[in-house]
Amino acid sequence: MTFEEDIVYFKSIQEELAKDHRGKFALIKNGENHGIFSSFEDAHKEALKKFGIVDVLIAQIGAEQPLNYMAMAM
Amino acid sequence: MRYLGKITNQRIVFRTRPDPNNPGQTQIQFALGAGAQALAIEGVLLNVSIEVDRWTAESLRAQSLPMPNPLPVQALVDTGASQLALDSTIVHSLNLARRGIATCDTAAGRRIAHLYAVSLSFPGTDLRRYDMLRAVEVDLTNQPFKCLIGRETMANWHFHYNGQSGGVSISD
Repeated sequence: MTFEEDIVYFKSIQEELAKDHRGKFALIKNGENHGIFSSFEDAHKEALKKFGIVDVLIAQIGAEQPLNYMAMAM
Repeated sequence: MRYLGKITNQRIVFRTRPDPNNPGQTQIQFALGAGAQALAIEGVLLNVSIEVDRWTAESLRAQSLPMPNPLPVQALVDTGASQLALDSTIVHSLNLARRGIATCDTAAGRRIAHLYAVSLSFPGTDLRRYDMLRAVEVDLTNQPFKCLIGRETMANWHFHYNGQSGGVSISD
């Protein structure tokens, strides 16, 4: 599965995960949830251990607050 | 307050003009107020070094894979930015793997940006090094700086901006 497909997968399970894990971080790869972590860094370390240096999705559960880059057009 | 590191940046600008007393020669003058002008025009620019994050570096070492060289770049201190942002050229040079996405509100509307893990340091200063920071990818193609330092990093700073003298002081 691609990185983009993992994003779609996360969106499909996010609501369910948010019931118990709001604010925590899910590690998603190949259409599977590989664990819930208290911090981005912990999920990142686990991703390196499990998959090596490849794209993975580390997504904060129920985080609706966007980042601001107000001087940027990006 | 105990400061662990400190950087003071006082811009000193010189102007040159033909020396009226020695034809053919150039006179160099300290340009009073020009440092303040430069600060107002360019903003707070710092020399920083961007590298792969600590955990990726350990993984590369463990696998005997080549380590990308740290990239020395100019960074703009941007109070309008939530967290660290890097130009796409840095992402590609360090061969960073994507770690997620972030929804970003910008002057041009809402955007989705890729998220990476990097380390950030301030060579030549005592400011602390960050072994792992999240950074979003942005397009800074037409800018003299290739990195935005946002409020996530500034949250650790005592930051003094003197627009009148053109001086900036940062400590942590």
